[in-house]
Amino acid sequence: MKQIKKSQNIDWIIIIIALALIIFGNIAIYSASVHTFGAKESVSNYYIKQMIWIAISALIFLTILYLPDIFIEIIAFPGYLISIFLLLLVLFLPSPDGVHRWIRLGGINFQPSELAKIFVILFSAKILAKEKLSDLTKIIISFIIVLIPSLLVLREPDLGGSLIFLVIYLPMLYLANISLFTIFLLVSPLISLVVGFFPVIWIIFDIVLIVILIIKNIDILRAGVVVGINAFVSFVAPYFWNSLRAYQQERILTFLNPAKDMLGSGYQIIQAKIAVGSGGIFGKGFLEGTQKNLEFLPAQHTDFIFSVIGEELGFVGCSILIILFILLFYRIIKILKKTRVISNKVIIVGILTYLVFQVFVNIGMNIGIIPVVGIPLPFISYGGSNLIVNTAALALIVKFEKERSFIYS
Amino acid sequence: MNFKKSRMLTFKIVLILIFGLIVYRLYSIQIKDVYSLYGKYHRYKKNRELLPAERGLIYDRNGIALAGNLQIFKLEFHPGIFSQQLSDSLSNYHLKEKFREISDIVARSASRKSEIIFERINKFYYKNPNGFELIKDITVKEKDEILTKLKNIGVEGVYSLPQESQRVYPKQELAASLIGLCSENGAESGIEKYFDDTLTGDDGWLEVIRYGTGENRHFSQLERKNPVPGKSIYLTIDAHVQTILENNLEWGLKRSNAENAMGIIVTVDNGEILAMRGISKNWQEKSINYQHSLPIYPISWRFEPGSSLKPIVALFAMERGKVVSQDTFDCKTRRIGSREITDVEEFGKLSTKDIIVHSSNVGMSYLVDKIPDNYLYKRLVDFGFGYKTGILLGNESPGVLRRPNHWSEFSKHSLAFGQEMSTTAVQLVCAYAAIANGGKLLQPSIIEKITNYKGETERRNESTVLRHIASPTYLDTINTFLQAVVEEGHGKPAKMDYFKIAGKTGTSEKYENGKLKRGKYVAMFAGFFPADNPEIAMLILMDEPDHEHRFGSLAACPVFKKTVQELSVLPSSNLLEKVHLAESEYTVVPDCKGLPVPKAVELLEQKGIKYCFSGEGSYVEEQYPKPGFSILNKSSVQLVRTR
Repeated sequence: MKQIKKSQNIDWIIIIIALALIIFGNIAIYSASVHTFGAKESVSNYYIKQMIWIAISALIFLTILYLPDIFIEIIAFPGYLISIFLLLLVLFLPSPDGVHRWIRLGGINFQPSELAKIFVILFSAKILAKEKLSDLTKIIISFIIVLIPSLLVLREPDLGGSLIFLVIYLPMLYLANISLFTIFLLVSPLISLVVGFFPVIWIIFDIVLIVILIIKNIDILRAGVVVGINAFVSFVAPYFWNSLRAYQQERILTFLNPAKDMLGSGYQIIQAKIAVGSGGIFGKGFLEGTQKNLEFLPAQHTDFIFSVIGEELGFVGCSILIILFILLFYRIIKILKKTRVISNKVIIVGILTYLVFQVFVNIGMNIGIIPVVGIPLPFISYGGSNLIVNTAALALIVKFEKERSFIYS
Repeated sequence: MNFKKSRMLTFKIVLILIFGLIVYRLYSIQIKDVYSLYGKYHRYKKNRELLPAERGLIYDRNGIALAGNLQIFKLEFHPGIFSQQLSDSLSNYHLKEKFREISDIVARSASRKSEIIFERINKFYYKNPNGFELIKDITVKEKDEILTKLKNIGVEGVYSLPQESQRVYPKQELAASLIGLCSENGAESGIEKYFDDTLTGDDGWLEVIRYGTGENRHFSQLERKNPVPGKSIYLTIDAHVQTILENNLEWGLKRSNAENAMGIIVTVDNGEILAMRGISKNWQEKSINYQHSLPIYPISWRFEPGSSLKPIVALFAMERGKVVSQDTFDCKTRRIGSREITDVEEFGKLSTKDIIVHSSNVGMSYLVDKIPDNYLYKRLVDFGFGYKTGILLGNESPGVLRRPNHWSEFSKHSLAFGQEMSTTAVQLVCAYAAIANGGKLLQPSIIEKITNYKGETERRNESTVLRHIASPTYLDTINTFLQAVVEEGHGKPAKMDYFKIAGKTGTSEKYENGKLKRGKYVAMFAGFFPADNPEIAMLILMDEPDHEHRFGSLAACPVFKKTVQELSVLPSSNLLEKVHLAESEYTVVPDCKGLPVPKAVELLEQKGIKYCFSGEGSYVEEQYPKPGFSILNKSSVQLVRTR
C-alpha cells in the first residue's frame, strides 16, 4: 500500500518532459555526428556514447529518488568539500591544451565544475535556509561558499563556468528574502570595478551609492567601509589595467569578449548565427544542414548543438525545443510553489536558475546575443557529466515533491 | 517562511523575458529577415560551377585541323586530400620539403618562379584545407606534364580545372567563310553555325561551395558531372587543294584586276567538295575573324552562267534527235523580232560542235529552236538549276530559273546562251560533274564524317545520286565538244600539253538591281579533268575583271590551268596516272627516290628529262611528279633532297 502510494506521488510529467528533451537531444547529437558530403558520409559515435550516459544518468536519477531524505542534508557539506578538492586537483593535472577542465579517467572525461554546481546549490541553500542566522552572516558564509569554486573554475580557465556560480547564487539570495539592499551592497564592488573605467558614470554611481546608504540610515562606520571599498576598486581597476602590457590587455579583452577574436570564437558565433538563420521556418531537413555537413562549426555536438537544430529543423523545431524547456521550468515552478521546506525551496530555485541560465546562455550564443562561453545546452548537448548533474538536479526536485506529497498525504 | 509573492513574480517575469527574447530573436533571424539581417555575412551555399564541354574540332578530309580550341587550365591544391596519403609522423620539416618538391615541379613545367608557388602553398596550406588555387593560365601540355610528374612522386590532391577555352583557326584564313566563326557570342557563321549542335558538347558541372566573398571553393567529395566534348567534323575539303585554289584565285584576281574571285572543286564521282572559296579584292587586309564571318559565296552568290550553259542546251537539242554534231548552221547575225543576236565575230557555217567550240550565240539560237519550251525548262531543272542543291549549309541560293509561262519572246533564246537566269557556283559545277560522270547528278557534300570525342565515327557521308540526267552517249559527245573547246576554241588558255581538260568558258554581263552594268562582266571557266577519265570538276569565276581580261578565256582559264597543274603534282594526287597519253610526246618518270643525287640526275638525263632541286642533301627523298607518271618531254621533275 505504502509502496504504491510512493510511486504514485512521483511527478511523472517532469520525468516525461526531461525524457522528451533527452531524446530530442540524442536525435540532434546523431545528426551532428553524421556528415554527409557529396557521396562521402561519416558518422561519429557520439550518439551511442550519449546513450550510455543516458543509462548512467537514469541510474543516478533512481538512486537519488530512493535515497533516504536525510542523506541529502548530510551529503551537502562533504560533497562540497569533495568538489573543491576535485576542482583543485584538476588544476594540477596535466592538460594538452592548457585548459584544466576535465579529469580524464580512461576514455571518460569528467568535469568537476559540474559536480561543484550541484553541491554549491545544496550547501549554500542549507546556509540560506537557516533562520537562526542574520542576513549578513548568511550572505557572508554563502558568498564564500560560492566564491571559492567560482574562482577555482575561473583559474581553469572557464569564464562561463565561473559566472554560472554567481548567477545561480543571486536569485537564490533574492528569493530567500535577503533584502535587496544587502544584495546591492554585495554586488556594488563588481559594478565599481566596471565603472572605474568611465569617470562620469563612476561619480554618478558613487553618489547613488552614498544616497542609498544615507536613506537606509547606515551608521557612518559601515557606510564608510562600503564606500571605501567601492572607491578603492574603482580607483585601482584602471590603474591596474594600464600597468598591464598590451598583449596582456589583449588577452583579457579576448577573454571577456571572445567576439573580438574573429577567427576564434567570434567565427563560431557568426557561423552559428548563419546556420540557425539559414534554417528558416521549417529548416533544411533532418541531416540536411549544409553548415553542419561542411563542419563549419566546431563543437556541433556539444556547445553548438542548437545551431544544428536551428539549421535542420528551423523555427518550428527550435520552438518545440523551447516549449519543452518552458514546460519543464513551468512544472518546476509549480513544485516550487507547493514546496514548504525552505531549504528545499532555495535548492529548487538554485536548480531552476542553473537550468535556465544554461539554456539562455547556450541558445543565446548560438543565436548571437551572448558571447561564446563554454556552456552546454542541458539535456540536449553531448556530454556525460553535464547530463548526470542535470538529471541529478531534476531527481532532487522530483524527490522533494515526492516527499512533500507523501508527508501531506 | 515562504517566498515573498512579489519576488516570485519578479522571478517569473525575468524568466518570461528571457524566453521571450530568445523566441523573438529566433523569429527575427529565421523568419522575419533571414537574409538582410545578416546580409553582410553571406551564407555558404552549394552551387554549381559549369564545366564547359570542349567544342568539337573541324578537320579537313585528311585530318588536318581547321578549327580547334586553345584551352587554358588552372591547378588546385587540396591539402586535405594531400595529407591523407602522408604518414602522420611527417614532421614540419619534411612537409616543407614536400612543398618544395611540388613547387619545383610546377614551376619548372610551367616556367614560373618556384619561390612564388612555394610561398603560396605555405600560405594557404593551413588556411584553406579544402583547396586553393595553385597556379593558373597553363596550357594542356603543361598541365599534363605537371600532373604526371606529381603522380610519379606520389603526390595526391592536385587537380586541374579548365579555366577558359578559346576557338582558334590554325590555318588562319584558309576556307575561312566555309568554316565560319565561333566567337564569345557563340557560333556566328559557316560550319560553326550550321553544325553548332553537333560541335557543341554536353557541359558538365561541379558542385562547389559558394562563399560570401563570391569565391567558389572546390571539395573533392562533392558531386560532379564530367563534360562530354562535342563531336568533331571532318570536311570533304582537302586543305592542300584548298590552299592551291585560294592561292590561284588570289593570283587570278590580281592578274585580271577583278573585284571578286570564286572557285569550287568537286570530285566527279561522289560530289565531294574538295575546295571552295570566294575572295574579294584586298581581302587579305581584313582580319581573320572578319573573313570567317563572311557568307560562303560559292553557294550564295548568283550570276548568269552565260556561255557555260551552252553545252547543256546543245545536249538537249541532240537528245531530241533534231540535231547531230555534224549538222551545220549558218551563223550570220540573226534577227528575231526586235532583237538582234550577234556573235563577237561573224561566223559562217558552223557545225553543232563548232557552235560550242566557238561559243556562237547565233548557233545556239538555232539549236534552241529545236527544243520545246517546257522541255527546255524541265531539263534545266533536271540539271539542278533553279533549285537548291541541298548542300548542308545555310544561306544557299536556289538561283533563278523562270517557268516557261513567265518567259518573254526572247527568253528561250536568252536561255540558250545562259542569260535570263542565274545560278550559283555549286550548281554549275555539279552540272558539269554530271556531264563528266556519265549523267549522275550528285548532291554536293561538304561533310566527310562526324566523329564523337572517342574518335568513333558516328556518321559518314555517302554520295547521293539525285537523278540520272542524261544518257552517257550524248554526254560523251558533249565531252568531246568540251575537249575541243580547250584544244581549239575559247578554252585554249587552259590547254595543257600532257593533260586533257574539258570545259567551257562563260562570260556574262552584270546586272545590278535589274539594270545592266555596262562594261562589267563575270568571266568564268567551268570544266573537268582528266577529260578522258574525269575525276575532278572545277569552276573558276572572276567578277568584274578589267577590260583586257573581260572574257572567261582571259580571266578564268589561266587560273584553271594553273590550279590543275598544281593539283596534279600534289603528293597525294593520282591524277597524272590516269592521263591517257600519246606515247611519243610523253616520257614516264623514273623512280629516283632513295638514290644518291648524282645517280638520280644520271637517270633523268638518260631519259631526257629536265630536273630541278629543292632541299639540301645528297639523297633524293621525294620527287614530283611521282615515279610512273608520264610527263611531256622537256618538262622537268622536281627532286627533294635530303641528307
